[in-house]
Amino acid sequence: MSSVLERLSTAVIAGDAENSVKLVHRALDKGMDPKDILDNGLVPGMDEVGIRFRRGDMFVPEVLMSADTMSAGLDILRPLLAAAGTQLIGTVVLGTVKGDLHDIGKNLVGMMAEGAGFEVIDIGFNVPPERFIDAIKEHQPNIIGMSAMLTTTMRAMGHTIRAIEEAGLRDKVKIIVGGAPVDAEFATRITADGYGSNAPSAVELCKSLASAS
Amino acid sequence: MNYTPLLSPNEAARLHAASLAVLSKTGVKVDHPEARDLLLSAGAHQDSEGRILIPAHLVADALEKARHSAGHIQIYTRDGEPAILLEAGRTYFGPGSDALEIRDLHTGEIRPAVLTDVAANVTVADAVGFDFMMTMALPPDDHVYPHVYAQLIQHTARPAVVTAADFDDMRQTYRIAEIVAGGQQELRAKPTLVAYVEPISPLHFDDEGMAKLLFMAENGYPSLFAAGANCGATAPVTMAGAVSQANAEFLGGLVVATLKNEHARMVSGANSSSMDMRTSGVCYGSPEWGRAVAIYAGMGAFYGLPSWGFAGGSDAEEPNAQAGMEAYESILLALQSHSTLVHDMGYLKRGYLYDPRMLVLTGLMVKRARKLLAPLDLSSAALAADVIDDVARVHAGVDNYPSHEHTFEHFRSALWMPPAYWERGQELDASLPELLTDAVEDILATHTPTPLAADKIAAIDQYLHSL
Ligand code: B12
Repeated sequence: MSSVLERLSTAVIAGDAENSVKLVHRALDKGMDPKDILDNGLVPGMDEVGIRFRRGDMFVPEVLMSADTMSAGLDILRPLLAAAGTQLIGTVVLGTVKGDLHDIGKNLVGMMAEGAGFEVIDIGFNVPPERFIDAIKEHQPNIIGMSAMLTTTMRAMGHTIRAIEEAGLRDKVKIIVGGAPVDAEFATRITADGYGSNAPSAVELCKSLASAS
Repeated sequence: MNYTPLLSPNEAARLHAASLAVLSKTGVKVDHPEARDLLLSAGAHQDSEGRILIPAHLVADALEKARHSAGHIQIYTRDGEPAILLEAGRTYFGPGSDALEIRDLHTGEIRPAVLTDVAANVTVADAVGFDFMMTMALPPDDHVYPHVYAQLIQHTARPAVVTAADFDDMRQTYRIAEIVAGGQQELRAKPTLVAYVEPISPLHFDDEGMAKLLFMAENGYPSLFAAGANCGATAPVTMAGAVSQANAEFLGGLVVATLKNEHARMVSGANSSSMDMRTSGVCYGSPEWGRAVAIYAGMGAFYGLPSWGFAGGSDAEEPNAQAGMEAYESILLALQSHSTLVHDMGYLKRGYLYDPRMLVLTGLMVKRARKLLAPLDLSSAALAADVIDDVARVHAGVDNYPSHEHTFEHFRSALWMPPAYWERGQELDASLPELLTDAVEDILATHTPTPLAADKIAAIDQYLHSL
């Protein structure tokens, strides 16, 4: 019989939330350290999901199910980790910018970021700069993620960054951008800290920015 | 296996029933005060979450009104001639809107769209002979929609379907159409454009969309209320689920519009395709896309209303074999199912890229498909019994068909006549994409769309400056 942690990884890969919750409880009952359960049970499962997705062996709905499974396990661990003073990976505020009603891409990024262990605050679509600023004040995220799907709204990302600067909050957060018309060059031009072309790359970006901060 | 890609009346009735159930059980989210009031005072209910549940009898009333006033919608050319009659059973083709990128045929590179691309693409699409126009390119500027439409209307007399990000853009676009028509009354009497208005799937009627829809209804301007209900993305992954949701969204919009004005004129249908489960891109070329156009056409026929369609696009980035397969597949389905207003001819890369060569290629596809699916001519001239007799008996010294007068008279109408560069065993100087480049350059060098009167151009310029 493989170890509880290995079975937990397998449950994440299979997107079996029910089993993953049971296995997290089982591991805790055995006296395992919450941080150990996260790092050696849930996270390796999600890492394998990422590898399989990039290889083309897993598909978006399966990855999302795995992400949900990871979150279900994490929900149990979160309070224990917090009590032990363990820092979670970080908080991400996500929104589609002003004037833009497309939100599927942003939602996918959010679900996958949650699966990677981030706390995700989704502030919706057609979000004006002030609401991004309010969300920074309220949630103190490490990362702000903005999505735009229209060539005509992508510049609202630049405006939002300016507004965050003017509110004196720019050094409090890393800002990442994405959406079909956006590219890395545009991201640099508007002084964002990063660009992701799809949900998995957005999550990689969040991880690297969160660990750097 | 028995393939029936087209929708039977019985299947349409089941989808309709499913849509009615969605509207009465899940209802729609409407924030716009006037639209809410219209629905609630007509007998819709608000549930505890504030959603508006629309009962079946309101839909039946709306369909009844729509069939009276919107069963036949005549759209005119910019110059006031009847151009397209929107009614179930007729099919018209046109390009798509708003592509971000253009394949620049001078450099061969893909680059961001600029305003002059609209003029060039419209010129090509006009020469190709599409029945209606869309803008095909959208430069990345704020409030660019009226500017884009101003380009369109100066480069074609054909009718248009217009998009806009928000109500103001849409209103300004219509202002230009009114200027060209000679006033609001004139445009109402002879509309030259159809508004692309949409809900946000699932079942959200946002304020901008409602403002657009109410404006169109009030003025009797023909309009769509076409959701982007894509399988597995904004709608259930199963086709029946996606269609029943999107059709519910259309019906909900029809209720709002006909409550505002019982003579509101609307085109039924929506856009549905699949989300690619590897890349998460929404496909404009998958078999689900082609299938959906046939289903919405079937729903339109069931309602006795014109239907919105989409075809002639591809997820490929170049006019290659994949593009040929995907574009032609959907064109055939659109035509065979009698979809009414079929857009997206020539879209590449999931609607993000225009390559003008695809306009020429899909123009050929449409002509070919019309030929392929034309009803069989069984007239005596076509049965040609006398001709057979002539040749078999060597009457008047004619012992072969190629030299028979009947062939001479009928070959142009009897056969699909491709352009000289279509490969049929002859030596060609270049590959098809290169030959298509040449065809595009030729059009741009020689085709002059019917010009717009100078005073109208001046009036448009003046209006755009005032914005
Ligand atoms: C569905 C759809 C709609 C729906 C949206 C419903 C919804 N709930 O989102 C509706 C019908 C409302 C809609 C409306 C409009 N749309 Co629209 N729409 C689409 C469509 C078909 C799919 C978009 C989609 O969901 N893709 C799937 C998601 C998963 O992909 P994604 O968003 O790119 O996200 C991925 C990445 O970009 C990245 N990502 C996304 N966000 C972020 C954020 C961060 C921080 C990071 C790191 C990464 C990241 O990761 C995601 C997952 O992999 C596209 C065409 C297409 N084939 O893509 C047109 C399209 C985007 N729409 C377009 C247009 C023009 C419009 C309209 C103006 C009118 C019209 N023609 O329909 C209105 C505008 C309304 C408005 N003000 O926003 C154009 C845009 C053209 C342009 N030049 O900008 C397109 C390309 C279609 C076209 N060619 O006309 N649309």
